[in-house]
Amino acid sequence: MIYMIMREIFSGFGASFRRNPLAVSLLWLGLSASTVGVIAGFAAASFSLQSLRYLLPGNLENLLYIDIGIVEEDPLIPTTPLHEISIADLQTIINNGLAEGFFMEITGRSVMTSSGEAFATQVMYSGKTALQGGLISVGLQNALIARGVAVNASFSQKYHVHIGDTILLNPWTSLVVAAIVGPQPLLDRQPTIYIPAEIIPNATIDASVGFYLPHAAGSTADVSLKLAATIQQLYKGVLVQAMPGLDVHRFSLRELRTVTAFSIFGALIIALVGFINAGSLISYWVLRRLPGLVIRRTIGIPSIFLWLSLVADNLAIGISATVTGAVMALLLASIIAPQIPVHFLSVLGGICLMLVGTITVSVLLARTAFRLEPGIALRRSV
Amino acid sequence: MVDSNSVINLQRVCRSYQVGKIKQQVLGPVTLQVQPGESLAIVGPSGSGKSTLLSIIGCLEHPSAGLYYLNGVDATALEEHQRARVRRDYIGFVFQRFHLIAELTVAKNVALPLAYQRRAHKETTACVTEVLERVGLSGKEKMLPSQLSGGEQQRVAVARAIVSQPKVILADEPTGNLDSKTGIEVMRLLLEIHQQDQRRVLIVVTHNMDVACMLDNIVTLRDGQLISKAPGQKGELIP
Repeated sequence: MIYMIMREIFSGFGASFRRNPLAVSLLWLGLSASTVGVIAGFAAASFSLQSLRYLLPGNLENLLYIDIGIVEEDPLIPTTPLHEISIADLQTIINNGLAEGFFMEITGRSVMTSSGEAFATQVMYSGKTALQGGLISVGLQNALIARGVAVNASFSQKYHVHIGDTILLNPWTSLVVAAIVGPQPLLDRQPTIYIPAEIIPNATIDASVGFYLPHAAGSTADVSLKLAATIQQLYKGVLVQAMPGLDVHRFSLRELRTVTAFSIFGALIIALVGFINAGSLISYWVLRRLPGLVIRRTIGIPSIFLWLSLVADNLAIGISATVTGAVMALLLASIIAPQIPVHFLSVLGGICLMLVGTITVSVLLARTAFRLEPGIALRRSV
Repeated sequence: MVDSNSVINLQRVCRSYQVGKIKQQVLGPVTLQVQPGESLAIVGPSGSGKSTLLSIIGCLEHPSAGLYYLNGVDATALEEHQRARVRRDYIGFVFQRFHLIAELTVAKNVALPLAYQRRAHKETTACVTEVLERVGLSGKEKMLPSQLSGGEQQRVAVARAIVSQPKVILADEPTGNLDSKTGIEVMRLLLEIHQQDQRRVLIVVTHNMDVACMLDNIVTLRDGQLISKAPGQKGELIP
């Protein structure tokens, strides 16, 4: 029986194509083009989201920024000059279990590479810290193991720096590039050098230090107090100011959410246009098939088989058209915007969305063939 | 009230349609019995309710009121899927416009009622071949309906109607789209098929009194009312 049903579906589809190749081709092309649009929309949304994620540090909920300054108002309290506070000393905080890692970011530093002077953001990190959404932690760990630095792809491409090259941070510190981290330059932030704090223990603090707190560290306020107390025990007379990562990056987060919402909205608009396009073509296709469905109902073929036949028929067109659309989207992306990665999930999401839409539209339209009694439907179909 | 001998037993059957706010009665009340082996013509002017009556007899439409027993079973109480099964297993339809599926070949059109029964593919093919031979269409199995003449298309429709050996054959203006010679051939074919089974019922809706006269009985409808049932002349038509 299944053999007969399948045979009928495919022979029906084949015969329809032979009889009306233009209608079937239009439907097929329309679905393919819509799939390209939907995948492009999803890829754009995914790209925007990823780009913004790379601009932010790791888990913001567990991030606490600490600013250390000198209390100058009371000359009687002995103070530790800032240039004596080395970043490696902050390891004490990690050893005390108050933080899991830290990083310090200094922008616009000049370094020397084999091809000349380069300007880059320098990020000093504790070595086990996952920066930028945790996406580049492996490269950073490798840099620490090799006792070198990591540079991002943006730096590597802009200044023609490769693994094994030497970077002169200052006249007395030269380090080997041990890893290139992060995604391709378009997604990446500005040229950046990641320096494990452990290999330059004498570097001093001259910016806010971001600490990643343990997940079970308690409230940010409590941890801030403990951190401040620990730092003040290490360095007499310093002023410690703490600010949660969520507050520091509030603007960026809002921007992230807004851009993501707009991108997804854009993708859904494209999907909607795709569905309207596909829907009109499918409605034409289903309307062409209605007389056949009504005749089948009249001679007593169970409705469930007719539904299955219609859905399977549209699914056959839908699958082939959406898969072709996906291939076209990938090809077009590689030609028009090779720097924008089309994620696998965008492709899969686009195909699934178009298929579900195709089936839904088919089923909704086919209801007209099943809503009426067969006798009335037969009279109306002629 | 239920005549256990009747294949078809209609008791005060009515059919009305809602047209906007107005309920328009197009048929009934009609009371009619058809005995096993009987052939019946339904005649009447356009709009008299002939096709509606045939649709109700064929379980294609539900009566708005009244009772309809098919082979002793209350057809008005059946669900749509049960009525579909009744249509598939007990009733064969022939229509004025043939209603063949344009995309399917002759053989596949004829095989449609069997496609959803638990039959082996070989058995289905054998049935189709036999029935096509019977209607004189051997060798045209792989042709599309559009490649056939009107008469041949109606023969395909007849083949499809009889392939599942139905107890009732319903024909709605089977000669209406054919020239007189071809129409007579199709009617002869229907009568021949009817006569091959002593218990099979043939009901033909027609405008053509010559066609009606070929059958056992003639019922006349006017304005939805059955106004007479009289014996036909069982006359032979001259081509």
